[in-house]
Amino acid sequence: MRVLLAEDNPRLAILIAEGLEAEGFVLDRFASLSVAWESMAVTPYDLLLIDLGMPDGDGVDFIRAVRRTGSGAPILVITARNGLGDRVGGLDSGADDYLVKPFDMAELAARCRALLRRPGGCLGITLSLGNLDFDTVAREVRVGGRVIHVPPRELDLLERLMRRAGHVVSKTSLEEAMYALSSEVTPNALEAAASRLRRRLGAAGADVILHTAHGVGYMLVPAPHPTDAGAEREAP
Amino acid sequence: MTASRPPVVPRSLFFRLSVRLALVGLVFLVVELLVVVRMYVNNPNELDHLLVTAEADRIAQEIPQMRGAAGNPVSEDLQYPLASGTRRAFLIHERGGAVVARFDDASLKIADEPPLSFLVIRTQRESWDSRFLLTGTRRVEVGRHPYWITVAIAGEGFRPFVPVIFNEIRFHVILPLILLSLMFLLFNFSVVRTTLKPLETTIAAIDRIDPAQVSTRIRAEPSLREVQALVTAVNAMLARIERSVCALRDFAGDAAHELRTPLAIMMLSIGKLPDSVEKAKLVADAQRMKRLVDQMLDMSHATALELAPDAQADLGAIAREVVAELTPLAVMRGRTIAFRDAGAARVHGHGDAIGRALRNLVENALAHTPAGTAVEVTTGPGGQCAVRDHGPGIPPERRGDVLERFRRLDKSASDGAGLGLAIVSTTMELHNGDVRIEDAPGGGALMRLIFPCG
Repeated sequence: MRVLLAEDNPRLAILIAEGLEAEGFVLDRFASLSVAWESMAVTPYDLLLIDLGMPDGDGVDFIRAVRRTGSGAPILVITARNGLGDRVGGLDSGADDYLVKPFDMAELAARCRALLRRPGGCLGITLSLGNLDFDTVAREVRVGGRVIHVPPRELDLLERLMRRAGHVVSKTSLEEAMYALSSEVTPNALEAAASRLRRRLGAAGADVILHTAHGVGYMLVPAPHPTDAGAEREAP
Repeated sequence: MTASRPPVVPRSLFFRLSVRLALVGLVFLVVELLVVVRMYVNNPNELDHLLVTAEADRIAQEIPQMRGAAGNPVSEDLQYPLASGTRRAFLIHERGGAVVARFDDASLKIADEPPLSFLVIRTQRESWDSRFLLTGTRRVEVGRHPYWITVAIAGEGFRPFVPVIFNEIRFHVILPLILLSLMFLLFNFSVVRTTLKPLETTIAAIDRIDPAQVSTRIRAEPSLREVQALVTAVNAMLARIERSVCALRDFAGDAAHELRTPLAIMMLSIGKLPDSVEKAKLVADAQRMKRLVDQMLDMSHATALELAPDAQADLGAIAREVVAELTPLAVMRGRTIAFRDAGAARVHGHGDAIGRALRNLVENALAHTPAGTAVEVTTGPGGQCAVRDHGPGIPPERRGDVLERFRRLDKSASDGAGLGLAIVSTTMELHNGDVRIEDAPGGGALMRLIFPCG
C-alpha cells in the first residue's frame, strides 16, 4: 500500500513515515504541496495524508484539485486546527476523514486502515477486529478462523459497526444499514438485532464487545486486556 | 485609604452653577444699591416728594377714625413724625374747605387755607443752610370722599430721609431682585437639566456595555459637540481594549495551535520507546498536555464567540453527538455514558460552542465518576441539559470556585487542566444562561446548563 504524506515539519514527517512503515505501509514524504502534486502525476497512491497547513498553499485547495483530476484515492487530513469550520471545509473539499494533532501512532494507523477498507479502497475485502474477521465480498464472519452463521440483517449491522470500530455508530445509521428505505422499522427491531448479535458473538468466543451507547447508538470495541482496566490507566 | 477619612462626595454641576449664580446676584444687588443711593443723594427733590407722600399716606389711613371721633383725636402713633429728628404739622380738609383734623407741632403751624379743589399733588422746599422746611399737599380718597392733606416737615441734614430711602430700596430693589433670583434659579435648574440630558443618556449607554462584549460601541448620537467628543473618546478606548483583548485571546489560540505539531512529534516519539513505567508516565503527561491544549483552544473559542441574533441550536442533537464522541474514551476507561432526551427544545445559541461546553462537562464528569458507573446526560425538558456523575460531588462552598479557570478540587489529580468548567461557565455567560451545580439524588454531582427561554 503506497501512501503519500504531505507534511512540512521534517521530524513529524519522519516519525509518521517510520510508524506507518512499521505497520506495513510504503510512504513517500513531501515537504511541499507542489512537489507532492508532481509526484502524484507519475505514481498512483492508495492513500493521501495531507497536512492542511503547508508552506506553499492551502491543503483544502490541494484536495479540491486532486478530486478534480478524478482521483478517488482516500484522503486523510492532518490538521492542527480543530474548529468545526476546518472540519467541514476539509471534508467538503473531498477529504474522507480528518485527524487533529496531536495523535498517537495506533490512532493514525487505524484511521489509515479504515480508509483503505472503504468500498473502493485497496483493503476492501476483510474487516478485522480482535479475533473477529468479516469478509465483505463473501459476506462471511469468522471468529478465530472458524466460520459462524450470522443472519443477513445482523450481518449488515455488524459490517457497519466493524467499519467504524471504536466509534459510536448512531441508531439512525444502523437502521439505514439494516433496512431498505421502503421497509417498515419497528422501534425495537434494532435493539433486538443488536442483542441477538451480541449473544451470537459471545457464544462464538469473539473477543469484541458490542457496547450500547444508551440513547445514541452502538459501538464495537476489542475486549480489554486485563491490564487495560480503566482504573489503572488513571493512577498517577 | 484610611477608614477614618470621610469619602469626598463630588458636588453636582447643578449645585455649582446655582452657587455661582447666587454670587452673581449678590454682586448685582450691591451694585444696584449703590446706584440707587447715589441717585437719591444727587436728587433731593425726589426725596422731598417721597417723604411728604409717605407722611400723607400714613395720615390718610387714620382719617376714618378721625371722622368718627370728636375733637382732635390723633392716635399715639401719629403724634410722632415718620422721620425722626424732624418736626411735623398737618391739616386735613374735606370738600368745601372744612377742616377735618389738624395737628400742630409746638413751633410749627400750618395756616388754614383750604387748598384749591383741583389740586392733587404739591411739594415745596425751603432751605437755610442745612435746615429745611417741606410743605406739601396730597389729595387722597378715603371711602369715596376726597380729602386734602397738607403736611409741613421741618428738619436738618440728610438723616430724616433715611427711612424713605430704606423703603424705596426694600420695595424697588430687594424685592424685585429676590423674585428675579428665584426665576433665575428655576431657569438654571431646567437649563442645566436639559443641557446635561445628552450626557446622562451617554452615561447610561456606557453603563449598558457588557464587559464580555468588547466589540460593542456606543451608538447614541448626542446633539452636543462636547458629548459627541466624549462618545468618540469612549469608543476609541473601547477599540483599544478590544484590540488588546483580541491580541491576548489570539495569542492563547495561536499558542495552542503552535503547540499541536511539537506535541504530535513528542507523542509519536514517546510511542517508539520500549514499554516501561517511565514510558507510561510520559504517555500520561503527553495526554494531559494534549487535553490542556484542547482546552486552551476551547477557552479561546468560548471567549471569542459572538452570538448571531438568529443562531439556533438543537440541544438534543448536540448532546447526542458529544455522547457519541466521548463514549469510546469512557468505555476505554471502564465507564459508560447514558443519554436521554426528555424533550429538549431548540435554543438561541451557538451549536459548536454549546457542544464544546458540554464535551468539557462530560469529560469532567467522566474524570470524577468511579469505574463501572455511568455518566448520565439528559437534555430537556425545554432549554436545559444535565450531566450527572456518581462521584463524590462538589461541596456547596466550593461550587463557585470550580467555575473559575485553573481550579481543581483535587490538586493531585493528574487529569484535566482545570479549564473545563471555566469553558462551560464562559459559554453559558455568552448565552445568558446559567450553570447550576447540585447534589444528585443518591450521590454524585449534577451539573445543569439552563438556557433562557424563548
